[in-house]
Amino acid sequence: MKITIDRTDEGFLVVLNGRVDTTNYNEFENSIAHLYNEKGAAIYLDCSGLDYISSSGLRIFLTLQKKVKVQGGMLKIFAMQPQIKEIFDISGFSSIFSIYPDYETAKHAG
Amino acid sequence: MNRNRLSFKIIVRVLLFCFILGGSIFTIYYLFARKTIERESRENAIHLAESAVYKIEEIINPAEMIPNNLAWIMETNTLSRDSIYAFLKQLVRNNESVFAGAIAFEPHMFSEEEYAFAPYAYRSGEEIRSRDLWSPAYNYFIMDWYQIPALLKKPYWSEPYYDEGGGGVLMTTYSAPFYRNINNSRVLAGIITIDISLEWLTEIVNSVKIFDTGYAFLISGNGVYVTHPNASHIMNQTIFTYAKEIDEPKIREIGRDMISGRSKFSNVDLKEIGKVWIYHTKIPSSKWSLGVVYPHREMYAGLRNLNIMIFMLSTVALVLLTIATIRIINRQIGPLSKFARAARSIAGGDFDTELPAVDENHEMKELHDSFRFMQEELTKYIADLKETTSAKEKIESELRIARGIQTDMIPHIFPPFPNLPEIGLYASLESAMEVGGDLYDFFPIDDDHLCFAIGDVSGKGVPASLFMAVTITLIRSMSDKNRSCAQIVESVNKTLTINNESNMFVTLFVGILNLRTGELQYCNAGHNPPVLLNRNQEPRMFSNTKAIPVGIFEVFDYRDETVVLDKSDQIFLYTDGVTEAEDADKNLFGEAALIKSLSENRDKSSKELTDRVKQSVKEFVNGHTQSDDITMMCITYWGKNENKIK
Amino acid sequence: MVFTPHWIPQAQFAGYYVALDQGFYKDEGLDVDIVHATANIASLDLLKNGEADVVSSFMLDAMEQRAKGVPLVNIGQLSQHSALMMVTKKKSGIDTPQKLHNKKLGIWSSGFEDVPLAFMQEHGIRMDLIRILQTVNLFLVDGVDALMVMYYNEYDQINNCGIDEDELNTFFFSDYNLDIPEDGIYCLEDSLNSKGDAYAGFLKATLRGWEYASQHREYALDLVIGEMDRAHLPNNRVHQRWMLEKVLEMMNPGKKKVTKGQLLKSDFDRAMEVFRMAKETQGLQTFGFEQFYQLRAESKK
Repeated sequence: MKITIDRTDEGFLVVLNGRVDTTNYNEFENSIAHLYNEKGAAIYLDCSGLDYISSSGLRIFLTLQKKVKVQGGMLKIFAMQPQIKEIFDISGFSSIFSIYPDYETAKHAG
Repeated sequence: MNRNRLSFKIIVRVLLFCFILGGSIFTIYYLFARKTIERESRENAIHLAESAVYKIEEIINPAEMIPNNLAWIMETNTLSRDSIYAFLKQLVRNNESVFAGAIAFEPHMFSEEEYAFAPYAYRSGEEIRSRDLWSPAYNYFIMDWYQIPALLKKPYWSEPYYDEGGGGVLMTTYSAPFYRNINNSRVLAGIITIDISLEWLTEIVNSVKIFDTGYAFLISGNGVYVTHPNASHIMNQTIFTYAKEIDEPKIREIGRDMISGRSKFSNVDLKEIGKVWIYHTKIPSSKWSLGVVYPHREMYAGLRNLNIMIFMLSTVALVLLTIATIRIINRQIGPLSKFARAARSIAGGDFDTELPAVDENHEMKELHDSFRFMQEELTKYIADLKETTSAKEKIESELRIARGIQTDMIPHIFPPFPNLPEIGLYASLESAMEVGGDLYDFFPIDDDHLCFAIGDVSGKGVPASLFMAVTITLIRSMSDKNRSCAQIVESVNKTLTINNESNMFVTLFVGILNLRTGELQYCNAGHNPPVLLNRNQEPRMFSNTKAIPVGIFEVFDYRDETVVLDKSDQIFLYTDGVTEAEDADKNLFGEAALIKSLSENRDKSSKELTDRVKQSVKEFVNGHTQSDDITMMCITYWGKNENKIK
Repeated sequence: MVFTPHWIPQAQFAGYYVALDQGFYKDEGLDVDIVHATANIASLDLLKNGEADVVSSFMLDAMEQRAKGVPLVNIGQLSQHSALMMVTKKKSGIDTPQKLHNKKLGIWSSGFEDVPLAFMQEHGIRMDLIRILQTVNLFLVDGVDALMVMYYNEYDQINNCGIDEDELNTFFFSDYNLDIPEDGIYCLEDSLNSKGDAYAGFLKATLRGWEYASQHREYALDLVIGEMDRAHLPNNRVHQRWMLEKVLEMMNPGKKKVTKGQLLKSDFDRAMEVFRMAKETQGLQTFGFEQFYQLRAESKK
């Protein structure tokens, strides 16, 4: 799994590529862990390259969401692949996270 | 054997190298020595020849002076007969090298009356005698010693001859013309001669010593041997007749070179003494020539002997070298085979094998030290490994126990309710690891209500299993006949959310089935929607829930939902381990496949249906490693008063 | 019987030595003593004064003596060809008779000038005749331009002094119609008349000796060397071998229609011609072939 984190005018752009499952969820968490401490940051999560996510991975998304909320920022997820969206739908996570179709929409949303 | 082969190889190579090196050195030395000998011999030959010539000239030159001086006297004086005789006698007496002397006059030159006059003084024993050479029987005018210098108008050294009068002594005559001024023209007046014995010359030449078979020889202007170690050659042979006799044209060439006065080195094969060098040089005054013969065999004899000695010494040295090399190598390489044995025994497990002692030999010491290090490291590694293994075994045995405990938590006796003919139920749970995060449970709340649940803790392994244990315990404890599914889920959620730093969550489906009415109340907290199987319709999934899994938000509004089951309706519950089962190419089993499998197998008993679906999944994954817990539960509702098939 | 060869011992007389050593003379009932001529006394002189019973001689010399009145006769002609020749050095450039004109010719003091004199007349040239006592040395040191040599003797001597054959120009008199026989056996006419058989026997034994010598050359050479050693004469086998070979060649009739030992009349006539050309024959006797050559008697023994 490849992950890139860039600072943008809007905040942070995190781009995910590959899978997040039990083999590498630790690595995933380590990569984004520093975002837990960003105060008031707007974090945009680009999931166009995310092929699969297991419950372990969902847990980290959850942690990120919670931490960001605590710090007064927001987490916006966009460009999910259909099967990933389905997982979020099934698990009800769609109602927890802010999910958008694309980056533009995500940026312009409130 | 290996050791022998190695030392054998080394020895052969070393010896071969020594041999080649030795051979090269020897060849170079030999060639160099030969060259040196050659050069020195040449120089020696030249030196011998030159010094002999010098000695000869020492005697000849003064002798040559005599007629020349006499010629001058004769030209400027007119002497009487008696005074000429006296003069000649004195001359012979005063010069010990001179045997005889004469002054031979041209016809009528001495006196008008006499045709010829040739006064001659000679040694006879102790005395000096004299006489007139001329007689009709002795026409000196046509003899070489007179005729040649007279005609050529220059001095002449005669060919050697035996002097009859003097007792067979080898002689030569030096003649010089003298002149008179007659009527203002210089006219030949006669020839002055001195006879010289060649004994002294022979002595000088014969005294030249060249090893045993080498020698010096002298030839006259015609090539006649004047001296030679083989006395029969003297005066009998010329160098040219000798060349014909031994059929060696090279000798003829040498002879021609000699009589033309050249100095040269020649290489030739003389039958009697083998290959020789001949250096020849001329005697300046008489134009005779001196040759020195250098036999190769003797020249190189010293070298040959030296070679033989070196060869023998070398052979002995090589033998000694071989023996020494063998011993040295064996001593050094000996430890190698011991190391080999030690290695074998270490490999066999005896890490404390004693290594062969090695003294101050660097490569071997390195080997020894490396071995020792390897020994120690191996020992340490094995110890670590043992520790780790036992630790691992400990963990594994604890995990097995944990599995046992977990299994016991889940009802696993089927069919579970023989005294409840209204339902047929079968469930199966296969963990991906020893312990897992999936759960199911079912239990009657009262005579008419069956509560069942299925859930999936996020993650797998020990962390998920702990959460699973908590969850399943909570479900049981939170459910009673007064609570609805939502209430149960809410309670479970609240409890789980507190002290959940790790943000673990559980997808959960709780259902309560009224056995009399077939009414199913349920609450789905983020779990995969179950499939409803109806006799008359295609399998359809419950709708997706909006509720989130438990354990995330402490407060969440969970809602109940209801559906009524007809008789023989079946509910199939599963976790995402079924739909997300992967094959080797990471293709997922998928909901479509699940629906299909269920559709094909409805009307079967719960157990059979479940088994069939399990089989489909197994076939799909085709041996690929199970990545998630696979849990299925099938509940068949028979209703009241239906047949007793479960 | 005293036989005198006309020069000092050498292979030139090998046949006689062989005949003596093999006892051929004894076979003819002859007790032969070989006494050589010297430099001072010629064989014909010894024949003249009776010290020798039979001699060998150069034919032209014998003819001269006969012309001077010595009653000698030829009882056997051994040499059928002339071995006389002249040599010049190639480097002198004298390679034709014409180029010999006015040049110096070295010639033996003991004679042999008839043939060259005839040669000079027949080719219309003249040469300075320089008498030499014995050696070839004057020629070797270029004291004379040309030298009279015997093919079987001095020619080889020159070669043995280091001059290669290809450094010489040769004039064989036999090539110039002067192929006049040389060595023959002579005795006084009276002796022949009185003791014809003996002389016949002598000739026969002599011819046998020469025949044997030609078949056993090394043996003949051994005898020659022995003779020369006894006479304290310097010698070597190589030169004597050459001499023997060439002398035997001369004795071969070759193209001439004559048997061994015989004298061809035409040869005699030609010799007479040469003699007349060379010598002043006034006051000398004349004689014919039959008078000169008189061996007809055979030995019946």
